[in-house]
Formats: sequence, structure tokens, C-alpha cells
Amino acid sequence: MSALRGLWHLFRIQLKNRDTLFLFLTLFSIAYFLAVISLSATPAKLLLQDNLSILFAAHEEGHPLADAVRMAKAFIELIALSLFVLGGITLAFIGSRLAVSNRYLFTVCLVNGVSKRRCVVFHVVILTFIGTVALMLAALLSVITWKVLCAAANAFSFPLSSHYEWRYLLDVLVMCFIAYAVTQLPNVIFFLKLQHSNLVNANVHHGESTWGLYAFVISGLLLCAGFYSCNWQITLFLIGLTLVCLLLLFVTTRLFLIVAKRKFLSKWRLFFLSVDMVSKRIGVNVPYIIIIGLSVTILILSLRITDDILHLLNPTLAFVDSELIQTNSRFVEHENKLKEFGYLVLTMVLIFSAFISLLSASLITTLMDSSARDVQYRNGLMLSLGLSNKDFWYLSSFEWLVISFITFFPAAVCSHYLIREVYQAQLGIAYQADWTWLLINIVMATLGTAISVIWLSGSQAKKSITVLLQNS
Amino acid sequence: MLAKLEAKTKRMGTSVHLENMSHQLASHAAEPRQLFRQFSMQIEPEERLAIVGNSGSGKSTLMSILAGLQKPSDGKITFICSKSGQALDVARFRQRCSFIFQQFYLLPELDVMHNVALPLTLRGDSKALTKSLVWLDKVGLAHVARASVTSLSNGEQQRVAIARALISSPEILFADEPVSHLDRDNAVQMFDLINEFCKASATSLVLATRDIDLAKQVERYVTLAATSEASAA
Repeated sequence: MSALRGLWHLFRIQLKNRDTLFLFLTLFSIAYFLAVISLSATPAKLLLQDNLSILFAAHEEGHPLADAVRMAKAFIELIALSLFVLGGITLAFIGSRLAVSNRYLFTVCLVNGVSKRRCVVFHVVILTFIGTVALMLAALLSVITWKVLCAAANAFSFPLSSHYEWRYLLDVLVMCFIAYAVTQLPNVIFFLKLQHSNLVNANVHHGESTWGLYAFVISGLLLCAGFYSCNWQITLFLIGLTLVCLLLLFVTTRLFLIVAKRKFLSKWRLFFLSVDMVSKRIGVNVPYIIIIGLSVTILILSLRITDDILHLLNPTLAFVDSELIQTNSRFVEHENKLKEFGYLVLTMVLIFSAFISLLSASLITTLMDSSARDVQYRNGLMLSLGLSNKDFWYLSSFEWLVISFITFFPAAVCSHYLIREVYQAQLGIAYQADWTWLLINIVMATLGTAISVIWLSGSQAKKSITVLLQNS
Repeated sequence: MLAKLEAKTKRMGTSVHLENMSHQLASHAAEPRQLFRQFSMQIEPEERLAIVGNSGSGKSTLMSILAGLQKPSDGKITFICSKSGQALDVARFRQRCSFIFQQFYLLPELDVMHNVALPLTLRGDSKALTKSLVWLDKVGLAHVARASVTSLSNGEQQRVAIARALISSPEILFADEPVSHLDRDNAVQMFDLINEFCKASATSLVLATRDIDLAKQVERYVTLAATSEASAA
């Protein structure tokens, strides 16, 4: 009984932790979105079954609509896979932050006589609780949303069946829970492996000790995603590419380290000092760099494919509208059905793309903000050691330009090869390498990131040094 | 640029004037906590003074304000270059002083040697690492120069913080409980090192401590009460 009371006290403390709320909201939003999409699978399937003969006929006649539908299906699968991977990465990141804050809570528990095993059990219980509540709430709200959407569609004379199959919903919830468990597993292992003395001394830097586990999380997620989308070819390619990306990251980092050795050249002193700072913090920054790099890759991939798919779909639908009547009289009576189907596909493509872009952008922003907060203490210290605000600004700018370059260079190479592979394997079309487009994206991403973090660092310089040091 | 500036401004002597300072701490309670009311004091060049008071009396806050790390809620603080008689801005003043923080504030990414060398590295001194080894030797930590600061004990970390503060030869040294984590012998040794350094290099010393015996070893001391008023000039 006393153990339960203790657990309840810990639980109440945990609920006040901001990272607990973030973890809950992230899992909820991913599950909710996927659940709504899965609920629409039943009417989509019915619509497809109803019109299958028309689609087959269209395919036999060489009508472009059939190809467009196939591409859209492949695209939706890919975006679902990307969403799954990105969502998993977000969950892993927030989970690791929760583990860091829990370490201090557990330290207090340990010095007050609670065993390490009980602390780990508590961590698992709280994670299970968050996961279960988030998924149940997502399921409930997605059903309500779906019913409201159907009622709204029917009110606007757009007949949409509100019938759905529980199996689809259950599939999504189980997959989300597996992904959630896989992403949180490294943090549980981290607590299990951590020595008692390290936990009490709090000397182990979480970023350094767990970055290897990030690779495990990412690989696990990619495998899950491959299983989910039934496309092992792309999954294996993604894993290989991730490894190449990490190798590139290592090489570019080493290059910068060699440059850093030539610091103290008087003219470029601040630049080399910033490179030196980056190299000194590389152990801490690696998880951020990997996650931002992957997010950028997925963002670039989804932007490019969405753009191309929409270009492919739109003329096709226009063709259905204007020329179908003249070219084949058999389709005239089904014109409305085909248009309805086409627009449904187009809407789904747009919604998926918007969500994936939103998720990538929010993940990148969160990481940058988190990273800027990590260096707040160091910045405060450097200002207290006499670095002027102007020099501090230069130093931050150089440092973040270097980090952005290290991040986005492998991301650019990775995106290019990924897009090429996806176009060939999934969409069956040849990819025209658009280096200008890729370069513009990379420059924009580098400058965007650098400017955002420089702005964040600039706002730090305005704070009092004591605040910067104490907030750490 | 900083290196040039340092060369130009070296040993010019700097005084700090704090006039009618009031300061309150924001708190979650209904009323903010008033730490100082109409408090005035000044630090002359080459002077060695101690600020004494119990826990929570505002020693560290006063040190932060005097060192320009924090602005007071009200009142005026001026940093004056004794040679030219001109007022210095906060950024320029910070280039002339050093701070030994009570919480050390070492960078975990850097090893011991690079932590000590940091103030000189920021100034572009090409001999920063050589000098840091000399100072590590003086504080008895030359054997852990390449170790990570997280692997050191609290006492050792405090000695690293002392070496980092002294390496830049400041004109004013702010030391907030500089030997609180050391054993008696080491505490005496480290305080002697700080004291001798200040005497030899004409550095002003502002020491915050709870230990009245330590405070008596400097020229004068200021005692902070619960809410300090215009008591200390």
C-alpha cells in the first residue's frame, strides 16, 4: 500500500513535467491523424470496389487516371512511412528528454531509499500510462471527428459513408503503440545500464551516452516502417542511406576538426574558434545533427514528391474533365464517380503532405530551440569571461553556419539518392536530377536554421548573464 | 581585437561605484523579496575587500551586480578607468575582471586544460594552453590536465575554476565562496595563492564569504544584514 502511495506521489510529480505533456501530445497527434486516415479507408475501399470495373476499363483503354491512382496510392504509402519514421524520431527525442529530467527525480528517490529497480518500473508504468491514454483518446476523438466529417459532407450533398471497420483502427493503434515502445526502450535500457554512482553523481551526459541508441531507434523504426508499408526494398535502401549519411557526417566533422587545428590565425580567429567550439561539442550535438538531418531529408523528399505528384494528378483530372467525354463514351455515365474518386485522392495527398511538412518543421524548430537552450550556459559563461556582444554574435553565427553545413550536406546527398530511388521503385518514373532545386533547398535550409538559431542566441545575449548561467 | 584591447588597457586600474542601489528578487509569492534598499559602496583599484553575510543575505547577488553580470532593480553602477577617469561600458569592464563562481560553471565539453585556457582562448592568445598548464601546476592539478572536468571531485573543480579566473591577470577579481568546497589545508593554500596573486599583480579582490576568519585576512569587510541598507561605503 505504501509503495502504491509512493508511486502516486511520483506520478503527480511526473504530471508536472513539461516533457510528459509533450510526449503525450506527440503520440496523441500522430495516432489521431493516422486513425482518421484509417477510418477513411473503409469508404475509400467501397468507392474503389464500386468503381473497380471502370478503373480496369480505364486502364485497358490506356486512360491516365489509372496510372495517377496507382501513383497516388504509392505516394500515400510513402508519406505514411515517412510520417511513421518522423513521428518515431520525435517520440524518441522527447522520450530521451523525459529520461534526462527523470534522472534527477530518480536520484532524489534513490538517496531516499527507493531501489533502482522500482525507479525503472515506475518509468515503464508512467510511459505505459501516457501511451495508453494518448492512444485511447486519439481513437475516441478520431471516431467523433470522422462522424462529424461525414455528417458535414452529407450536408453539402457529398455522399460519404460513415461506416468504418474497427480492424483498420486497431491496426493503426497497435502499430503506434509498437513504435512508441520501440522508441522508449533505449531510455529504459539507459536507466538499467546506468551505474548507481553515476545516477547519484549525475556526471554522465545523456546526449553522449545515448547517441548510439538513436541509431538503434532509427533502424528499428525503419524496419517497422518497412513492415508497415510492405516495401522492403525502400526500407533497406533507407537503412543503407542512413549509414552512408552517418559516414558523411563523420567525414565532414573530421574535416572541420582538421580546420579547427589551424585556429588562432589572427584574421579568422573567431571563425576557427567557433569551429573549435563545434568540434568540442560534437559529442553532444550528434543526436541533434542526425535527427535534424533525417527530418530535412524527409521534408525535402515529401516536398519534391508532393510537387511532382500534384503536377501529375492535376492534368490527369483535367483530362478526365474535358477530354474523356469525347475520347470514350463508355465513361460518360461514370464521369462524376471518377471525378469524385480523383478529388478524394488529391485531397488525401494534400492533407498527408501538409501534415508531414508540419511535423518536420515543428521537429526541426523544437530541436533548434532545444539546442540553443543547451548552449545557454556556455554562452553566459563566455560573456562573463569578457566576450563582447559583437564578438559573441559573430561566434554564434559562425558556429551555427558550420553546424548547419555539417547537417545539411549529408541530408542533401541523402535526399537526392532517396528521391531517385523512390521515383524508380515506387512511382515507376525517371527522376530528373534537379541540382539547382536541391541546392536552393539546402542553401535555404542552412540559412534558415542559422538565422533562427542566431536570432535565439541574440535574444540570449540580451538577458542578464546571471539568468543565463542559472537557467542551465 | 580583444587581444589588442587587452594590451592597451592592461593595468590601468578600475574602480566600481555603486550608488543608491535597490534590488528585489522576483518570486512566486505575492510580494517580491527585497534584498537591498538604497545600498551604496565602492571598490577602489588594488583594494581587497570581503562581503560577509549569512546564507540568503544577498552576497552572490551583490557580487553579480558589482561584476556587471546582472542589473540592479534600481540605482546606479559606474565602472571608471582610474587612469583616464572615463566611465567604461559593461562589456569593456568585463574584459578587465574575472569571476570565481560558487557553482564553478565549467564547460563539460572541454577538458581541464582547455577550461582553464578558455579566457585566453577567447582573447586569441596563442600561448593559452601553455599558460593554462602553468596555472594548473600552481593549483596542484597538472596531473589531470587532460581529464574531463566531470571526472573531478567538487574540490578539484573549484581549483580549476580558481586557475581559470587567475590566468587572465584581471584588474578586479570577484571570488564567490572560492574555497568553500576545499579541505582546510587546501583552502588555506588556495586562499594564499589568490591573496598573493592580488598583492603581486595589483589586482582588486572582492571576496564573498560566510567565514569571518577568511574575511579578516583582507583589508576591509562589509557585513550584509537581512535587508542591507546604506551601510557599507
